[in-house]
Amino acid sequence: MLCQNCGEREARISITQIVNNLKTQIHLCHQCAQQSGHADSVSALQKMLAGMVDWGPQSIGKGKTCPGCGLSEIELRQRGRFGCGQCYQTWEPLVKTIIGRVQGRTTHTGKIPLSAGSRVRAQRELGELKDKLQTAVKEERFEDAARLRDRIRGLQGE
Amino acid sequence: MSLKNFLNQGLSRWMTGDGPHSSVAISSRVRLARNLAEYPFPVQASSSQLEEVEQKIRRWWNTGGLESLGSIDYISIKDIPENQRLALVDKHLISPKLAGQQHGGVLINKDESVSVMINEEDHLRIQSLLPGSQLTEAWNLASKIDDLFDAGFEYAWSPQAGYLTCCPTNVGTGMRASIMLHLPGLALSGQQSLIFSTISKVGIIVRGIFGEGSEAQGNIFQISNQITLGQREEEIVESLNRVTSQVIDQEMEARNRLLETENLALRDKIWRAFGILANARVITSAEAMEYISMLRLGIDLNIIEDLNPRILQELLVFAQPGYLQKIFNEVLAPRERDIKRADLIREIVK
Repeated sequence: MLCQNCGEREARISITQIVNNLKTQIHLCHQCAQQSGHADSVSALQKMLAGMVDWGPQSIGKGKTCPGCGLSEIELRQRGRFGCGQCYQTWEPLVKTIIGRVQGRTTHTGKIPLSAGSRVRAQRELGELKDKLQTAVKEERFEDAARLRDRIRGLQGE
Repeated sequence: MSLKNFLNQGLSRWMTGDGPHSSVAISSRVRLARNLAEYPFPVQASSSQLEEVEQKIRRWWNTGGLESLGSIDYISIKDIPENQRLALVDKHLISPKLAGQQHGGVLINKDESVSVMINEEDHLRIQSLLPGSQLTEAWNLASKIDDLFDAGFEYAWSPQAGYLTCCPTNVGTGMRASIMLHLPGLALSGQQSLIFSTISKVGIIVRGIFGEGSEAQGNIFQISNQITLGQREEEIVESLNRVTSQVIDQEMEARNRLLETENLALRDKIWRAFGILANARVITSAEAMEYISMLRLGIDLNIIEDLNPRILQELLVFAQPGYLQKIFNEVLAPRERDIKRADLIREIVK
């Protein structure tokens, strides 16, 4: 079998990954595996896999460039890499599709930077409290529900 | 200075062989990808913008931005001689990509448990690297460093997508957490596939570090998260910890079974590996890895005494082409490397 990266040399290294019970294998030659580097080869693998992601039909928003960094849509599709933070807004619908395809989900639930401010933090907390309230009501834990409702009101009042 | 002293000075903290479950878990790593809001990502930035980012971070470090972490050095990639760059790659402190970056830099602390790459694929790649199974600790450490940068710079971030990264495979938490495991017991009993089936968990990936075909060279595997979005960092770490502890249990069981049922064959294999490593005059990396794995198993099972288990970590790094060239301070052709590698191994195994 030929290397799936360069398509020139015999593949000697196979990498298997399982995501959502779906097994994917890629086969590489020594050189390409080496070039991708062993120190950070997980991310190298991600990169290669990202390169295989279908970035959709070429016709969407043709010719647009990102005002933040000047990246054109063609470059974006070819490289599979964003040029700056603003790119995420510039190609919003496409970005959402791509992220969904790569990650399986589209909403961040992890860390919030200080610079994002307290408003985002409060919104996140509010959302989580509302989810908890729903569960509490469903499970007929009314005391918990009352407590949660008060906290939600408190946050909304701020 | 003797070779051994020289090598001892080259030990990163992750190579010390300490840490929980160190007979199976070699090291735990967490890396966070971060970008500064006001600059294009490195791939799209101009040379002068890249330089500006580097200078900005350097100035900030200089004025004590990372002071609370203790002593930490800033190294510009262009100031490191070529052969020393590869040695940093072999120690997992920088990536091959950064080694070739004109305006790249790296911050490294004293015991090399922290490294922050500047102008790699993202402006910042914050990395913590600890020995044994310590993903939670590695996450806490990386997050602490992240907080320090967060106080000094505005990150590219959105409430929807989280930390914005150059590649969509990193967006969200920007976190890649990974643990390196030595699994000779499972490999010898032909049960590697068990590892893969254990890891049917969503968003987790396993692979051989120096993999060839289905056999991982040196029986060393890495388990890491694939998904970076939609899970909290703690959830990612927790699910990796759960999987890791299952794999460690399976490995220990496999080792015990081998001791019971294949005792003589196992001893024979281990002592032969020792014999070759102690006497070879020319050895390739692949061959060395195979025998080092057996040697380490022998040490873990108390079959071989008087040898430090750390030998595996040492040779994982020192026997790599980049580090060999640093040790012998010359550019080596592949054949010469195989000779020097054999010399080095004889010295360490002695």
